[in-house]
Amino acid sequence: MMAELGIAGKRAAPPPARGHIPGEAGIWVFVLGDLLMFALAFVLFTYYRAGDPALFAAGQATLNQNYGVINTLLLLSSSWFVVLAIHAAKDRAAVPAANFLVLAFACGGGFVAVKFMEYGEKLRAGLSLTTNDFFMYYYVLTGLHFAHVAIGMVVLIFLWRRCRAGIASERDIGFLESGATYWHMVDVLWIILFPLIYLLK
Amino acid sequence: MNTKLQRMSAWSALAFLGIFFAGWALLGGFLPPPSPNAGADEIAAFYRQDSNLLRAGLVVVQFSIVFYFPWIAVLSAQIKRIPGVSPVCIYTQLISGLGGVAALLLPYFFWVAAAFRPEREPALLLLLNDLGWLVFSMTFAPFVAQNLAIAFAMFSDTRPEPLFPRWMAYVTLWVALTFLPAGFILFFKSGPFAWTGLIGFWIPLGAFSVWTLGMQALVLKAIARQEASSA
Repeated sequence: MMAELGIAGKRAAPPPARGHIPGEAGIWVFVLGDLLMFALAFVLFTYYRAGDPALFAAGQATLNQNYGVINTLLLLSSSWFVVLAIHAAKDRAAVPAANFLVLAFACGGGFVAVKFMEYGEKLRAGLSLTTNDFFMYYYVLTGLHFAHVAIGMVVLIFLWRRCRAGIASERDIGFLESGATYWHMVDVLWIILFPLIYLLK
Repeated sequence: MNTKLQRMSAWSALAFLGIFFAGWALLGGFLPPPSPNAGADEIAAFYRQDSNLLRAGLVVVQFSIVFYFPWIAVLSAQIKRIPGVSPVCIYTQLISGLGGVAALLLPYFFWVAAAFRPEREPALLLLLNDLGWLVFSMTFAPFVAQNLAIAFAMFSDTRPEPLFPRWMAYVTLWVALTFLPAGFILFFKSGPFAWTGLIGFWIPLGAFSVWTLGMQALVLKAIARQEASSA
């Protein structure tokens, strides 16, 4: 904080509640880069879909939207638990913060389990990523997102460990906020991905 | 402290990229990649046409890899200067960097073998071509490990003015993520996730090249700081 004021020079310090960017500045570079990659993939999906609407509609009709809805709810709850964890951490309540992270992790685990069931059903029905262009996008996009969820769950473990070790400084809060920012991004990506692949007619 | 060799090693990143692309893309004609859908005769025609130009390009590629080694070494040498950095980061960077060399040389051997006897059966040329391109486009493991090691080293620098800017640690992680879709090239023979595709090939290749040049600039700055502090 002092260093920031020093660099800002004559400028008045912004009111902390309004000017605060969660996490380190660098995490936002990462988030924007990753969103850019997914945005590109979404554009490609839309472009291919426009080229063969019937095939994509038929593919979409085979998807189980219930799985998608459950997973949306799981990720949203998970994000909410992470928010609660950050609030608790800011109050230096490390134990409740750690517990909220456990709940967030459990929701992530639920997402993974549902995805396994869903992939299993599709593969048993003979629908794999080489079936057609729709399933190529379905598997690649949800697969890349799945990888992000898996990485995010490892991140949550690190956040949990930090909380268990006690929250001592602003640096600890910054670390938690950076991790939380990543997890929210994974949530946001799913919220775009789900309607795009499962619902959009 | 004499940092001249370190500076030369940093610049060797540019030398590597420049000479590699000159040999591989301009002389060898390997860029854009041949379609994974191409039949044996089409692939055979690629190796039979301008065979000597292609061979010359491959020799230039071999020469370019000479410059990759000191680049890996200077990365480790500079990361080592971060106070409190784990030796695991330094060593992982070093050995995964060497793994990266293997990822360049292994596909190279297949292309060389195809270029050596282009008159052999087209089916065999197709096989060699597949081996070369699959290994070249799909081998992301050493590069992901290397980027993780570098990012973790950068993260451990908690000084107000770190040796490398912290945003570069995040960029380095992001570049590692862009390598992952290369795993999909095994499933597709066309489209954006094939070895000719935007997400399967061009973005990983572009991210690797741009990141290397950006990292070179930051390594040069870090060397300048080392000179200033020891002067």
